[in-house]
Amino acid sequence: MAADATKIFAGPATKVETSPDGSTWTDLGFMNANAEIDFEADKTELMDGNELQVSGLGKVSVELVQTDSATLGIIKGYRTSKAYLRVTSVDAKTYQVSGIYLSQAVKRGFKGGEPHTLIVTGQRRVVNADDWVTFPA
Amino acid sequence: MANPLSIYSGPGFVAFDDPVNGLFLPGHTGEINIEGEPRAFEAMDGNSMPLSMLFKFKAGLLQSNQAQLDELISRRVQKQTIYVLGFESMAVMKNVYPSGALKRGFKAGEGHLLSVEAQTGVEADVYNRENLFDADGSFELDGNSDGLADGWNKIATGTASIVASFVSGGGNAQQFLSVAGNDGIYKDVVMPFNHDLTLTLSVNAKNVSGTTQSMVLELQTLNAAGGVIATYTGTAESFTNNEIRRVSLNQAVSPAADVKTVRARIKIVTANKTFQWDQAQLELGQLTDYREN
Repeated sequence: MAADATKIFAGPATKVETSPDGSTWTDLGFMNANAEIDFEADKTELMDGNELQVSGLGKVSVELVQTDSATLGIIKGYRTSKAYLRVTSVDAKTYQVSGIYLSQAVKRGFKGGEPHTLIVTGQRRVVNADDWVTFPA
Repeated sequence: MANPLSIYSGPGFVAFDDPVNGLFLPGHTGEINIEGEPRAFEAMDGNSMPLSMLFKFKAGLLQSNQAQLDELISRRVQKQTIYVLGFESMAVMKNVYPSGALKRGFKAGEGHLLSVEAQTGVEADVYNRENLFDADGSFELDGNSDGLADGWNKIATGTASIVASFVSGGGNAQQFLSVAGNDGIYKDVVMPFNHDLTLTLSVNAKNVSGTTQSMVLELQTLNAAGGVIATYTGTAESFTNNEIRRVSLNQAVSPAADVKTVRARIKIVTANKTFQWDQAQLELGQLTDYREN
């Protein structure tokens, strides 16, 4: 495979949305620059020292800075009901995860220049990384 | 002894290969590391007693698209040979299962990374400014008694024989009588890459043809199927009868396709002439003294 700079993806997210079914999306508004979608391999060590990947744990974390009750209510709804979550990056690529319960944590620091933050996280164990999140072509 | 040539650094480029999936060069890479960790237990007196080493490989691939991931998924259950090729060094890690992780951070200036990790209890073969011909560069052994030193092949026709070396230190040398022009010998070295690098081929040569004759060095890059991608031919070197000297070809290579193998060729320009060769060396970077690995 040739080195192809068009396949390097980076940059801030422009939008984060949730959906109950993957078709109707709700924009969660402003977020800060700490959004991440990760996949960590579950590995088992073999006798010869090799590690074999058997599955992996997908994790998503976004930090919303719109901490009003409406946004809070949306996230609370996915505490017991599985959500779809979609992040759109500045290059217009979308990264969608599905089948996750959303947890929330709120950080309300009363300092100048530091907005209150609603930290939304979710995770799911899958076999391969693209079982967890869409990959761009 | 302090020797700046024993300090190694610089970027590397990674490639994966296995018999089922073939060669895979993943393109832009953010980081590559091979680290050795001792496995030890603590004795009663507090001593830490190393039992073995564990060698860990990690590469951060910047091209985090679906095609890249598909390659890694298909290789997850196939033991890989991993090549890391730098400007002056090559490391080869064998028989390792790769595992993959993903990190998509949505921050300016931070590329999404597909990380590939692998580990084994067997140390990587590391060639740091070393002779990529290994011991075959000395033409000492001819296991099948075909006249060609082990690891070497005929380009086409010609008569090969192992003779006493003409260089100081003794040992053997390769003698070759051409039947046609451009006959000679070659050796293949697997070293996958698709980036610009410099290769240097060198050999001690002696013309024993009886008259002034010429020989030439040549490098070829081959793809995974064995097809020639490019040929880089050096200048014909003229030798008077019985003249001995070291000749070299220093070549910048810009591959137009994924290279799996570099073929080093040593050729006699004219038919029915005889040369002897010893201490052949293929190295990454500039020409250095001959080293017998």
